[in-house]
Amino acid sequence: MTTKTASPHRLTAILLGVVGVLVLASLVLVFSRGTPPPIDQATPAGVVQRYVTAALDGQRDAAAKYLTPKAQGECDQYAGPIATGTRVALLSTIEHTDTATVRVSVSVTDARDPFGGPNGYPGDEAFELSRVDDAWLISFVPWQLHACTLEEYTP
Amino acid sequence: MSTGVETTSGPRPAGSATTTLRRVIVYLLLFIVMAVAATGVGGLLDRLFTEADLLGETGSSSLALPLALTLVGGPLAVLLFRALWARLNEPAEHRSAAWGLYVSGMYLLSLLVSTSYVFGSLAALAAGEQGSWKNGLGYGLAWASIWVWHRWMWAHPSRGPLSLSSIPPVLGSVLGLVLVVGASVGLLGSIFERVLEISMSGTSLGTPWWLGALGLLVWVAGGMLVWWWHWFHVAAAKYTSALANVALVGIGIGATAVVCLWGAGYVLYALLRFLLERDGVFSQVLGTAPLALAALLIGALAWNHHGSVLAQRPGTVALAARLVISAVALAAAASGLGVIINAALAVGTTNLGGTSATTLLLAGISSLAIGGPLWWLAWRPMHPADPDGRRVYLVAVFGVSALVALITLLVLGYRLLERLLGDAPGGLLEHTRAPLGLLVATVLVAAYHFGLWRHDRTLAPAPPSPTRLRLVTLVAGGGDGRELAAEITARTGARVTVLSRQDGHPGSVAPARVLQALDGLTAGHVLLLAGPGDRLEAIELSTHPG
Repeated sequence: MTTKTASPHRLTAILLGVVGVLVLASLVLVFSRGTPPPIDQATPAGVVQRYVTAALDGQRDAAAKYLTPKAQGECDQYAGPIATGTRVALLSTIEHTDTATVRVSVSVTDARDPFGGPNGYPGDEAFELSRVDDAWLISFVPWQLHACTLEEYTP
Repeated sequence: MSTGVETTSGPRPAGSATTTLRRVIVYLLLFIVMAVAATGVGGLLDRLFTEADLLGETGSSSLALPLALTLVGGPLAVLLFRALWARLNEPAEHRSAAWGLYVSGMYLLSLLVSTSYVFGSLAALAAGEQGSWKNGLGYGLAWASIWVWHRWMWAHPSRGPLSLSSIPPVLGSVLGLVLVVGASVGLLGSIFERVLEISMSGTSLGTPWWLGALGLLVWVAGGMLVWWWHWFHVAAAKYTSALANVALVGIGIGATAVVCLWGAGYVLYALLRFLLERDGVFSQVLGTAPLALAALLIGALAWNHHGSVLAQRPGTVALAARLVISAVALAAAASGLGVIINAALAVGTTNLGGTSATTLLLAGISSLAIGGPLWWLAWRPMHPADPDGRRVYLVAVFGVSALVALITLLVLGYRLLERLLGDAPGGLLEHTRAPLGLLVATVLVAAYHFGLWRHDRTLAPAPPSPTRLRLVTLVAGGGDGRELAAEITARTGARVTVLSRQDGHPGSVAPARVLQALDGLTAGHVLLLAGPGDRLEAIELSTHPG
């Protein structure tokens, strides 16, 4: 610092020490936590979680099971496959009697960009769900996570 | 190198303008041809590396372009280079600014392109992109060899550029610094973000986070390598040229301080909202908080390091750095104050939604809390300060704040009239509180700095510039002239023009007498007649004709 004249090296050491401790503690915390149990399927968040997991795995038929029939028919024919390096973080759920909204943050990482951070440039999206026969089904899927099955492409 | 001694000689060598033009054109050609050849070779190498992954191609068009670039650019580059290299033995070519400019330009371009391709490919490999990581590696290697070549040229003992030779190391270290700081902020930010997610029991799906982090780790290592190599190995840290000082103050101190202060302000803001607001909407704020914490830590590290380098530079550089920091802190504090006033006025209106007055207030408080104390420390208003050093700063800050005040006044006036003429619904206060807050803050800033400037001027009015001896025309005989001229220049710093007498009698005027004669004079231009014998006459010349 320009206002301190004594031992900037000590300040460097202190800062490096703080960074090191924080990073180490964070890594320990992150890696010691196992995979969390899947969310209860009866909740909107659980349905979205299962849909996203199936879609990111490439299992389109399994993913389509979580959509309402109307949503299955509306599948966007021009949507390409889901980009590699997509991460989805569940943010919050707003639940009403017959409809629900699950907000997610979708980000695509690009390793060739040093300034994007591993979260790329995240976008906030929302899933819409509606209650059909006592179960929650997705009625609206954000554009990054479309997983169309091949049948929809037949004219 | 000019020693201050000039003999009147014939007319200037004709064609110096032609020489400069020739150099500019030739080096420009070399630059273009070199870039073409590098792109061509890079394209060929790229195809070589990705050959195995090719599933098919449309015709041979993808081979034609790189091949053409290589076949045309390559031999031309080599020929042109050899012709220029042979001429670089001459001191005039060796010293020319065009040569220095070419080497600097090609050095930096090749460094930028090769690092972005090579590190990008390695990062993609680390991040698990098995299929496509080799894309672009060919270009990276071709441009890397260009960089190695120009690095060798830059360091060549007898033909390396003499002018503008500090540009490659200084700007190379800046590139490395930007890469290292940007990538490590991203890396630390992602680690902290995972911690936050865990503590809030969030779930993430998809690519594991540490793959992206490994990619960023490659960038951190690469940027560190580039920065360390230029800063320590080539010792750019020890340069004291104007460019090196500007880079240190502007980027090494200024930009890192901005990163650190932004991080500190945002962390404080997130902390305040977390403590004072308990609704769940704050998850949006917390999204950037890990990144801000990383920016705070990394920015502080970089800032601190450059501050320690500052100690080895002349005192004016340290003063400039302090002024830059106080300017940054002042901007943060003033905008914080403006937002606080804005929020205070917002209390008077009913809020239907959106940003509440509390949120605005917290944002303003955090900005002021970070900027204010730092400004106080850097500016030290209570201590007496050297008025000369900060005159430029005072004028600049006053100018900027006056401009901002003018703009806010315009907006304020527009909103007022809009309301008064009934064009816009809503309360008067609601529309005008934002520009009003900013206006108050900038007026305060402008008034304070204007007052300081006036105060400085009354304290120490600019001293009248003393007439200094600038030019001496020496009429002397024989070889005396040169020695006398050197003595005069050494003592007074004036330029000496020697006119040799035709009768050639060497004088025997002692230099001490000459200097004594010059001592009492007040004119800027003096005619000195030395010889024959020990005659010495000094005539002050007036600058006004007639």
